[in-house]
Amino acid sequence: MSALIAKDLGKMYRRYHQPIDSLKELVFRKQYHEAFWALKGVGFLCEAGEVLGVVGDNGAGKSTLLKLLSGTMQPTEGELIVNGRVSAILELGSGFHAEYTGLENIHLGCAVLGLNSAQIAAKVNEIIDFSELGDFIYQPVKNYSSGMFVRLAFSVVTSVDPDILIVDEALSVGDQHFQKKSMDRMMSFKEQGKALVFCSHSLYHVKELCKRAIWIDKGVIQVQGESGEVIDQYNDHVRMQNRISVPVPKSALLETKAEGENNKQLTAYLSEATLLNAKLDNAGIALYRTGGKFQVQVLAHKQDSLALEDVHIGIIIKRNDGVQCFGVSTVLDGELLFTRQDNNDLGVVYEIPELSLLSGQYSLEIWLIDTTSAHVYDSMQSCCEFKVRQPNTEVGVAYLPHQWSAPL
Amino acid sequence: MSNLNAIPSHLHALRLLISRELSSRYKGTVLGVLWLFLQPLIMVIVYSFVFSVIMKVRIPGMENTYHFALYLMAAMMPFFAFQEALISASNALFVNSVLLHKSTLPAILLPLVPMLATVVTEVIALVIIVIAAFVLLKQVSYYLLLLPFLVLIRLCLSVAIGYILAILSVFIQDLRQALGLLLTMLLFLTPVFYPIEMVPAEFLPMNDLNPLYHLLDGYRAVILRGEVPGIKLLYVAGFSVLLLLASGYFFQKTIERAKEFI
Repeated sequence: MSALIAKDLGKMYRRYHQPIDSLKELVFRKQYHEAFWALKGVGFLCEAGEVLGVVGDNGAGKSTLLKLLSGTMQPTEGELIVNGRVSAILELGSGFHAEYTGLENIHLGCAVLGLNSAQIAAKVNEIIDFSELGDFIYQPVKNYSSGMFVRLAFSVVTSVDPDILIVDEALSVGDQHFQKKSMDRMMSFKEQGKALVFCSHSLYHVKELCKRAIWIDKGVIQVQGESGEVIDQYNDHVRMQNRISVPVPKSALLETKAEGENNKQLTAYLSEATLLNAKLDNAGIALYRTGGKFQVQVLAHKQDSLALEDVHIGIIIKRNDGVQCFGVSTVLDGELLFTRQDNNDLGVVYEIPELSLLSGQYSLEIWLIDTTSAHVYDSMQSCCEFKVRQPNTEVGVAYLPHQWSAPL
Repeated sequence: MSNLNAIPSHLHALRLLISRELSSRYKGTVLGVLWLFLQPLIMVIVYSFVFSVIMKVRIPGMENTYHFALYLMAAMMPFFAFQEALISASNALFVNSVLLHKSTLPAILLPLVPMLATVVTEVIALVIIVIAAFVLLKQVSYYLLLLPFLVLIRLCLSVAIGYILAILSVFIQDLRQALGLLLTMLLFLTPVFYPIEMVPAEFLPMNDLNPLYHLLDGYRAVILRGEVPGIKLLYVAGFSVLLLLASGYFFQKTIERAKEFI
């Protein structure tokens, strides 16, 4: 039996000029609002014993979804079936009363979660133990450090034996020791067959903890499925937004072009760049595997007046956030281009036998340069887009060869 | 309609929230819960001193000079409880916005907490007035057993109006400002400070339509006159129950809309 079943969930926020319009609307049956859909058509399953990750940009609708799941907000449309008691770690301890002691807040916190006095009495000691607050439990929570506050809140929320736990960014709280402890507790929930919905900006954690994940963007599910793939796609999207612009020697480029157009003296140009042996993904983008072979063929044309030795090709692999991952040229490697049918038709195949790049979205920057590398005949920016997918969950840009050995 | 079926599992929460409501007022004070008793007690003493010892106010048909002070108190204390309930209900959703948005506690319990708490203060005040009536006026009767019903009707009426105010004050910001004024007007328009006999005949129908008048007179009847309350109190009871059902429905129907503005 699925712990959570969401069918076509939607949440609409109504925007009014003034609050009273909302009431008028109810009475006169006439629309006074502008609709804003924070979520639309969201459907998924979360099985018992499963950790479901939720990722997305700020304002994408994650918080709205978590509020719907935890029952603090009603969906505007669609259906949500919840099998079991839900406990949510949304804003930890936000319901605590500063003037009251930790112990009093434990009682109130548990009661608000729906426990009766006998059930609370049975849990109090366990909560105090887990929170490691000791005698501080008799102090008003206003005297607590933020870490103590969060420890108490986490202990309360997770002690009520939920069947479904909704976790929002709870890993970033408390000290290292308590983070580890809270993580262990959440994992033990998973082993006890409880369902966890885990929402975090720490994509590494989502990838490690969750078997499946959902990426929400602008209120709709962009992708859902196996967490590695979802996170990789989301990462591509994030890097795209965060891209840094690497200064391109545009002046050189423009000057060359201008010169060429005006004087018809453009002495060499790039004619074609093609990725070889690539699989295509659903969107028709070339897909490579980390560790697989990567090949690109570049063709160019030069004028008679130029010597073969004076035409070279440089290729830079760029990730979609602008990071230059690797760039090299035939000049650097001391290679020459190959001629084809005609002496002026040049070409080369650039091959990386074992591509070490990790998951991401990449493109090439191809430069046609002279033997000094200073003069640019032609260039292609952001061409040959391709994706890389890695089999495991290493993090970073590239897979570096390494080994682990016994200490000296 | 939101989570009405979650109410039974949150009854313990309701109990704790009410005791928090009461104790938070006196948190950190030296006398603590004693303040709950001190306030009505001191009022009885001050009123008796001013109206009975200094001003010697007498109302026709009441021989004892202490009578007027108790006559005032017997109606004022329930009125204050009514007033307190309405004001706290109109603030309840704002004050508890965290619980409203971040917990599964049924929202309909939030205004109920401070309104139920007024019963505690009212009952304490009534006990003090009943004792004072016995000590100063030698007045006691079996009809005092009707007091719990009067308190229940008072609560019913307060909650009925309170739920409407809790919602309306979200949509109409001015309401919270106006409420204090409206309640003061109501206090003076209802025969609390003066007996009904002093009201000119042409204004009497207004009093007859005022459920508070019949209710407050019921308190005076059982505490001071040793009589059974007037028959009209039954109408007030019926009216309160019907209004409570209607306003509870209204609250549930509109709370999701109201939440969007809190």
